[in-house]
Amino acid sequence: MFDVVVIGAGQAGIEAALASAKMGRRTLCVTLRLDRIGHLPCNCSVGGPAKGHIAREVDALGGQMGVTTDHTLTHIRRVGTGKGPAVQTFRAHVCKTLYPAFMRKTLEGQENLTLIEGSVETVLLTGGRVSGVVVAHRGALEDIATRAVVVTTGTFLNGLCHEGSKKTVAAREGDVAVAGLSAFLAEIGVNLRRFKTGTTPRIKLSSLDLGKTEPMESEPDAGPVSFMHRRTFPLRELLPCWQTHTTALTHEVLRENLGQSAMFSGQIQGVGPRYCPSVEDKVVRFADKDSHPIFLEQEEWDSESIYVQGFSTSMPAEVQLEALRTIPGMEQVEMLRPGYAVEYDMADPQQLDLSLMSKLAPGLFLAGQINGTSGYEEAAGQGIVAGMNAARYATGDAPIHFNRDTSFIGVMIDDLVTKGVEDPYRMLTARAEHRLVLRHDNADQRLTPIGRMAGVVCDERWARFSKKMEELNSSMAWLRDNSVTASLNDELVGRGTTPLANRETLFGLLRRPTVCLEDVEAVADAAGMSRDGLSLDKEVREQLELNATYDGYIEVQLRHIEQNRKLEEMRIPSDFDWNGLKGLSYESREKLSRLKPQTIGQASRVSGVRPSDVALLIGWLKRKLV
Amino acid sequence: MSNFHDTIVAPITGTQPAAVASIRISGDRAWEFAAKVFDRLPTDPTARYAYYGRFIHGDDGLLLLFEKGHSFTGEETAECQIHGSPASVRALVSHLIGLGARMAEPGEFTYRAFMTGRMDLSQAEGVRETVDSQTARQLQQANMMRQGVLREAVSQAREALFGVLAMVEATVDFSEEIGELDRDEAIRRLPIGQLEDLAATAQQGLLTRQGIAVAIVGPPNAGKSSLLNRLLGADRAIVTPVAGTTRDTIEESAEINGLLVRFIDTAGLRAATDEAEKLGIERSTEAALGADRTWFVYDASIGWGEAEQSEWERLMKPQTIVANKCDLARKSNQDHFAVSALTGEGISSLTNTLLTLEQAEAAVTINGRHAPLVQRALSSARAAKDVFESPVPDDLAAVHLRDALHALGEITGDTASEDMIDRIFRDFCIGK
Repeated sequence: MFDVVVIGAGQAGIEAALASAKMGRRTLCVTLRLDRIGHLPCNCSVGGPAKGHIAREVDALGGQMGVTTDHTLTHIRRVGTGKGPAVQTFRAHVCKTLYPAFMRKTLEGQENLTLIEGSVETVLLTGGRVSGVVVAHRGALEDIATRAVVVTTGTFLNGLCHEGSKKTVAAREGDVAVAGLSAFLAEIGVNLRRFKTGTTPRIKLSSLDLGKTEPMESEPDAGPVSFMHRRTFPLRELLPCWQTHTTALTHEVLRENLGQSAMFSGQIQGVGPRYCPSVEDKVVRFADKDSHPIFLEQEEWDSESIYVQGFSTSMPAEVQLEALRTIPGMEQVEMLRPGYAVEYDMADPQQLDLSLMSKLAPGLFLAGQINGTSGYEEAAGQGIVAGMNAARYATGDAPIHFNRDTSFIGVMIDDLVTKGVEDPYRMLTARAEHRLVLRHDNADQRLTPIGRMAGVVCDERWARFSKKMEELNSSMAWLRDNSVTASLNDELVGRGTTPLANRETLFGLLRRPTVCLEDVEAVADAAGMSRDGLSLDKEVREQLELNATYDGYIEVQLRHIEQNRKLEEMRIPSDFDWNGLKGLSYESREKLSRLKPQTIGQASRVSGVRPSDVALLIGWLKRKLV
Repeated sequence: MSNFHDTIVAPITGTQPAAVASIRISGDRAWEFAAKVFDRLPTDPTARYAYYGRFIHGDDGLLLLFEKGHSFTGEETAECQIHGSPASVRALVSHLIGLGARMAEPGEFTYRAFMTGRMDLSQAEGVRETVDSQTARQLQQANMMRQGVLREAVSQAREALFGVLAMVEATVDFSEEIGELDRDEAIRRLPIGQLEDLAATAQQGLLTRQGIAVAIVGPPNAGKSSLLNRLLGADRAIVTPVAGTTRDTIEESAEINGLLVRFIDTAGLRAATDEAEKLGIERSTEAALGADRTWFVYDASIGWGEAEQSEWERLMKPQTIVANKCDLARKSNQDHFAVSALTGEGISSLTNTLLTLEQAEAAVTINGRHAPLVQRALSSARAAKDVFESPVPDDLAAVHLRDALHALGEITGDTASEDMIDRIFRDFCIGK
């Protein structure tokens, strides 16, 4: 008897299994191939705009993604600098062999976690609730009892790979697809749809003329990713990556061969990702652009394989090669493996509640790409939430919901279950309306206490976090309690800022756009003040500067959050009679009664629900007529 | 099943005694209750048909039924028209309450109309303004609000803000594909001018809704109270020939060419001898300073003397000089308004001065609830402009743009909030 069975060991499955096991639940993780745990079938990259935020949030909750990244990275740099504090994060490349190996070792070493190689054929229900799974394992079928199941099967359900007109029934290069679980999901009423994603060709490093490309060096101090670390642990000196671009000639080759693209010839019925389009898609959609950026990323420390970011394609191999050779630096390129597209079954996330549990079968949780998302980080974010909530469900504890105003993970889950998905969902910075408070740097303050409460955050992480909070608080007190007067105007002017007329706190000085913490320290020294209380920690100091510089904006955002929270906290009874509310439009009534939103806030985000419908709901709940 | 399990009742006509009073019953049991208090209702009654008969408390009158979906509230409704005596109304209402109806709360009929989808929030706000309107101008504003004229103006500004926000949001994630934000274009598209225009109607809206205050000042016995009475067409102020009769300020309202005008009649300005009068004069001065307009009235039959001159200077405020008793005066100053409170001569040319400024074209104006929201939207739009004009990153402008959108949404009901619903229904009275 297990508390939680996790099906799959990709980025979602890993986080789900580890979270559940760390919470002390007897956890089983079933994967088709132990050697593919944590496999990275697309680019070997973690982070990037908004995705980096999710990676940090997974880490803050006690997840594994950030820790593994810090140990297996080959490249890291900052992204979004200059775009505002909410956009800044990191982007790392990890070694395609080290990362999965590290993940496997971690799972194997985790207490309460059993790992087996096998295939889950179906899920067993008793009285409509999850009671077990049937596993094909060592050539036999075995019933295994469990209270909860987390399905993290990625692209495996009815996977179909396309490369030009060549079709292979497979979940990805080298992995068989499965059909049994799809049948189970369809049987209980899950709406399955076909989505598509793709990957790029891999090319040989030594066949490139890197002199024609723009090298992008690593920025070692852009890390660490994990709040557990003071630094990253790269095996060797970090690698650069290289930037080049498509040319008019590339576009011509692609356009001429559009008929042979699996995507455009109608072979693929699945819907592709709008925000990560294939290169042929880009050429068609942005017909007026004669160039698109291409980034060359080394996949492993010790291999020649290069990932061609920006060149995802489902063209026949020979067309891919012809097109690649029109790109500066790739005139003589050798292709190690062509790009391909994969079609797979996804399950409509609108049939999930905010804890990622299916509304159709209590105890059944779904996370990751099966919910219609794309990306490792998105998968990991859902995985840890589903794992935590499956664990809590198994022991009868109330689910933990993640809000839009406390995490990108909350934004993502709310988007998925409330609005549903039309194409593979990728996290974007702009999806978060309160992003100024959902920064990369404060993920721990937002989420570590939740992870601790749930039991996922270990003592060491908690101690680090508590220490950081202490330093942050004492530093804030130092800035707020100490003030300076016009007597220090010479020092201020010398540091390029305007003189003071009245007394000003050190925090007030730091709020000035051109003043950094070092300036404040110098002013304090000149005034003969002690620096007791001010932290020397880099992370803490960065956060102090951000909090001060953007104080005014943060205040506005917090006010909004406060206003919205009222609606988020107005709960709609689960037995609410939608048909009884006569004023609702027919369309809204139909959508809302199907989706059964849990709060007014959630109801307001259902597409097609008009503001007047929301006003009506508020009016009804306020009235509380018996 | 209805979400409102009770049936409510309240008189929907004003103060009794009156010739007729109307009592509305609304809810699932309205017709059932009506049948129990009325003796001539057939078992299968016709809606929107006036039945004549006797009510249970002995009074006779009309009963009208409205079916669900075809009534003011959208619910099943009955309206009883009886004699407008307080006793008759009380008796019938208490009979109905005895049957199980509940006394309606203030604004509850309109609230139910909102809840059944008969009207949206801004229309409900328009209903309240309509019901409350005292003057033609107020009614015109309320009508425009019910017809959505204000909503349209605000929606245009919202659209523009959405456009700028979309530009910012797109470049936050996709500047590599679509290029950097065109800040000049973003600034150009900010609806700052529109919001300024809208904000500028606040003053006008206030004048329309609260009226214009006119203080009538001047030396004792210049005929200020007589003038007020003439303006109101009633003997309101005590008028005696003894100087200094009006000891305190008297405020009266009149509708003049559609505008609500509040006249403040003040004590005569002069060196007072007793304490009460001194106090009165202090109040006069205060009233004059607080009013939108000040009319300085003097006795033209006596003429403009030193006393008039010094009083006029003392107030240190632009004043319209009114030469009263022009019927008794031999000659008059061309710059003064010659009127006669006694004969009515010159009164209309005097009151027309109130309108030359205020009678702007009938544009929609914002009310007291809207004004701070428009101000917030305006200052946020300006703050966004500041971001675009400074080295601050684009993304920060999004914070201000959202704030502006939020504020405007509260005017139109697009940002529905508990607070907004409270505010709209708070000021209704019972029976509305």
